[in-house]
Amino acid sequence: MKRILAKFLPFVFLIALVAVLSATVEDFATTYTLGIVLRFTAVFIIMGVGMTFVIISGGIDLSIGAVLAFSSIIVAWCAAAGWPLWVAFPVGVITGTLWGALNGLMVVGLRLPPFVATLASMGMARGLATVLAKKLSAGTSVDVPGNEFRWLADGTVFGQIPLPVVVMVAVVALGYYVLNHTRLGRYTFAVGSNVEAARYSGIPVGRYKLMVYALLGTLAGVAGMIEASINSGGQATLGKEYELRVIAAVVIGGASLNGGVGTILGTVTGALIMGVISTASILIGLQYEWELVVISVLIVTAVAFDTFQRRRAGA
Amino acid sequence: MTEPPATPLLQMRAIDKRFPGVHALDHVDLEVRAGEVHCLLGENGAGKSTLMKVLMGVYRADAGQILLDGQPVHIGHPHQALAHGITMVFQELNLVPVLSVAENVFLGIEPLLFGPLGVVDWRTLRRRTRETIERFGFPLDPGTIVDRLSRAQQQLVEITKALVVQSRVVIMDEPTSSLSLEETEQLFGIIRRLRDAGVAIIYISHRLEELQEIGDRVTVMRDGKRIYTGEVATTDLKTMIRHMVGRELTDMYPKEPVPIGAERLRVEGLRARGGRVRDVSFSVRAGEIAGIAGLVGAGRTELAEAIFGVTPLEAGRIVVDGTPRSFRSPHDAIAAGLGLLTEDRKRTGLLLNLPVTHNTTVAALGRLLRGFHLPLGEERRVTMDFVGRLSIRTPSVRQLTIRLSGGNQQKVVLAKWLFAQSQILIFDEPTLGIDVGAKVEVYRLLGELARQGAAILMISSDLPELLAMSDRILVMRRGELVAELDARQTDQEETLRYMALGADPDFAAPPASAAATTTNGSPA
Repeated sequence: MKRILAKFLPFVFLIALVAVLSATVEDFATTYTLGIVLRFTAVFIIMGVGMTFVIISGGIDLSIGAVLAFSSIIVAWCAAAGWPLWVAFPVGVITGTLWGALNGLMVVGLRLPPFVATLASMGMARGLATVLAKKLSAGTSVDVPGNEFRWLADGTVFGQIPLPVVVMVAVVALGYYVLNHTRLGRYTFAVGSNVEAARYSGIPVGRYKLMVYALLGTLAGVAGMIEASINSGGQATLGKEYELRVIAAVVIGGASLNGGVGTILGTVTGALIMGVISTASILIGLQYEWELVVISVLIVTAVAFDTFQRRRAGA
Repeated sequence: MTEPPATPLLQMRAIDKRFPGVHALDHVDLEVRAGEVHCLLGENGAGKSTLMKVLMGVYRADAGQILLDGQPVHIGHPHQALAHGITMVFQELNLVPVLSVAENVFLGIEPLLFGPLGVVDWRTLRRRTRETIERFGFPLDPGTIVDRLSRAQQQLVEITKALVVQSRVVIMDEPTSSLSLEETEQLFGIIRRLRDAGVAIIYISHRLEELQEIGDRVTVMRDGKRIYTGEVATTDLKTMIRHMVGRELTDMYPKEPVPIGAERLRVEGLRARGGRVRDVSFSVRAGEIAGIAGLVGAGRTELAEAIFGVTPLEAGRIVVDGTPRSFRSPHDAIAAGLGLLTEDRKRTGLLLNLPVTHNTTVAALGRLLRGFHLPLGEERRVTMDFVGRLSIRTPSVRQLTIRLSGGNQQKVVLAKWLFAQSQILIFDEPTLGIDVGAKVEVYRLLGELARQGAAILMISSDLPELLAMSDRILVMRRGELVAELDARQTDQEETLRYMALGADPDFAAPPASAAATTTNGSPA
């Protein structure tokens, strides 16, 4: 009973937060605000789905914000070079996949701790993105003029729902299915729960770790495409500190940094909580710095709660 | 019950404790006198550990009283237990591997200089550790880093921890589970000395024959209740088992004759782990249970892991069903039909924070998959089937395995290999740390697997079990295979001689293996 309650705690918190804000903040409870929250969180949720896999597998990835920037430069470069968009955008996504696989190789092949491997990889991606941008243009951004490039940012389905939100919903649905109903998802849990027992049970641990990082890289690439489209081009400064927000969403959503525990819907809830706080902060006129403090306190609370639960369960 | 000579040193009265959904302790009484070894018996989940955790102040009882020397005391925290002279030697080692023996012994109770400044008095710490170690003649050096010690030595460090404080009550939870025979004897010597010094010892073990050797009185628990208390000398093993299990165990070792078929696994000139396994050759046939005997450190687990592809072969080859195979990982071995039930189920056997379902199907997920899709309903159904067949006690198949008792955890690991339909099974200490009832069920399952044509390699330090369940005994010593004995023709004595001394020509001439008349040392 208590476990069930703990599982739904993030969701209950989200509902309570929305209720309180609707009652106190003017103009909060509108479809307009809802639209802002969803658009704002779409990119975080997309990457959060991948990060959920990585964290359940017992890993972490700090490079995703930088990978997002790097893939935005690549897609802009391809588009600027005159490639058709239906080639440029997939190339941008695949860039993310490859970068994720590189992270996986460092973790599996070189046996680097994921924290160190992806910290280094973050520097590489950000650095290369900047170098490339400067080579192609004067500054740190590569602009692609024209509205065609903005198809992903401005497009809608049923004339109402923005494409980024559609992509997000698709990624969440697919992520949920893969995590709970496929071999990859099952092995992700197993590896994160007990890597030795997983190996002794015949799971090719290295291969699946690599796949999980590649999956997250792919989703960072997808997020990069959305951001590039929104910004009409690639920017080497995109996605700064996104990794922190994404990890925070996953952790607030109930995943454990020790591995083996986490859910897609928890992550979605975690990201929405942060999205609501950010949006409300803007409406209230709260400074960004204060918003950072609020979110940080939330992370500490979530992790402390998880640790507390774990200690009681493990006795 | 015998009349108490004086006020018992420790009395626990009507201790009651409920966890959500479980009545863990149902008004349990326990009396322990100064200078006695009081054995606490019960299957896993009977409430022994909970009772001891109440005594140690880890759990708070819902009702009941604890009295020391007839005076009620309040124990709300392990520190308070320690202050009353109650210490516990844990079954699972609670040592800090990077610290020295002396540092571990005094962990949390470091002698301090300058009072509140909290500067550790290293000299006193080392001196008192040394004194205690010497007093009991432990083969330990206070300065050694614990990581470098064998498991048996680490166990001695745990015991030293209990001895440096002036303990009046020492709780020992399965202290011999990682000790060799010789080390066990040493430990018993230590226990006797403690007892003679007036310490009350509460001794928990699943090895019933040990209780007969060391115990003065015994209390049996079942389902959270105290069932029986009596003198060990006047209680026979059958009675103890009956009280523990709640029914008569007619046949402890249900070994049935099975026709032996074709050779399924052959190992030739195997060498692994830098020679910790050397030149090992043998074969196992369908329907056969081959037992591997050996002392701690003889290389039995290393052999199993080399065969299973955990560690690479340095020489030799493995032939499965007539085809030479090379396994670079357990993945390859499992694909070839092998299964390894490891010695340490918590470290290498179970996904502890995942449910019974995940653990049951993890080694053969492919059997369930339809294309990409993993049908969860089907998985639940299959798992429920195993829960029924192996009588795994769990409220639901979605229960996390960490919440199951040791015996039930072991059955989940068994279910994993049964689901994988492994045909060549290596069981490394399959009954370690599980209760009598569960043991018999494991034996029955071994028999069933053999009857279905599986080839089974069973490693065990429990000689009566090994002799009763195996068809053949392979004896290992220092990484080598030193003897191959017919289980029906040999006995504990002969097996032990090979385990300890090897095939040295001076000792090898065994008094014609017809010594099978000596029935197994103990019925349990």
